Amino acid sequence: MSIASFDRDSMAKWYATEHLNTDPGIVKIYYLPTNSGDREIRLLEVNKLMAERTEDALEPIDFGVDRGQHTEHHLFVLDVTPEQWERIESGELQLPSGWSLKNYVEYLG
Amino acid sequence: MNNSQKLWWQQAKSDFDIFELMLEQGVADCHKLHYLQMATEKLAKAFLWKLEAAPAKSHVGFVKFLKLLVGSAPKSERERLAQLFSFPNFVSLQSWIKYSICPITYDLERITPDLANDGPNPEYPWPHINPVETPVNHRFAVWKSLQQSKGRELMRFVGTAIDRFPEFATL
Repeated sequence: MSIASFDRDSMAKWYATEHLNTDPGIVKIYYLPTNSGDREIRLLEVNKLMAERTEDALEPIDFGVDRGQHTEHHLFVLDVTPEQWERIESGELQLPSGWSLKNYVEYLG
Repeated sequence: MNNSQKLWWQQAKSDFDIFELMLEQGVADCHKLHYLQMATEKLAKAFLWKLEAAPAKSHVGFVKFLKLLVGSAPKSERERLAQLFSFPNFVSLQSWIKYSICPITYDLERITPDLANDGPNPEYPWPHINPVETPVNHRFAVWKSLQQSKGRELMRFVGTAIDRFPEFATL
């Protein structure tokens, strides 16, 4: 596979499916491609088993993957509760800087 | 915070910074685990130094730290402690520690070479006498858990605990 053939959207779908199948709390995942880099996958994961939190600042975790290989990329995962997701949808709660819901792809458990 | 606490906290902070760098860079799992384990152990020791006595020279401590954190907090400080970690109340923090993350923290603590029973550990090939596996090639079960949502919550918790340590160091 050449460097140019890294398929971000397919990789995002693979991660989403994997996470939905292995993490019992996750009810849906949104892949957010808008504004992200070519080798950056942003997933927002709605989790019904996550502890309820009061603070509004949302913090994605950055996993570097396949360093030095043609498939090298960053996977950012943002975990939110169903209640936080409702607030994000209504615009009451802000996504991390640079993140956007525009053109999101939804994956359901 | 006393001076011993400060020294252990500074080292925990530095270890956690390296862990985050390695996480972002995608280096081998053994190195990420090693630094996360060290950061949590040093965070625990920083907290235990509040008693003005040297904690036991051992790699265990993080589970004890979590138990002490919620077990020894004075009643008057419990809600403030919960707020520090963005929990709506102390009971939520307590049950999250007890039921959600304790299994992962226990596994994380047991990966150090002296506690791994001559098996998977993030530093040395094993078994010692006749090595058949090396950390850099090994898929650690605890790393798989850490990548899942409870593990990610734990990583965020450790980051917060280190950042905000001065605010609960003497509780």
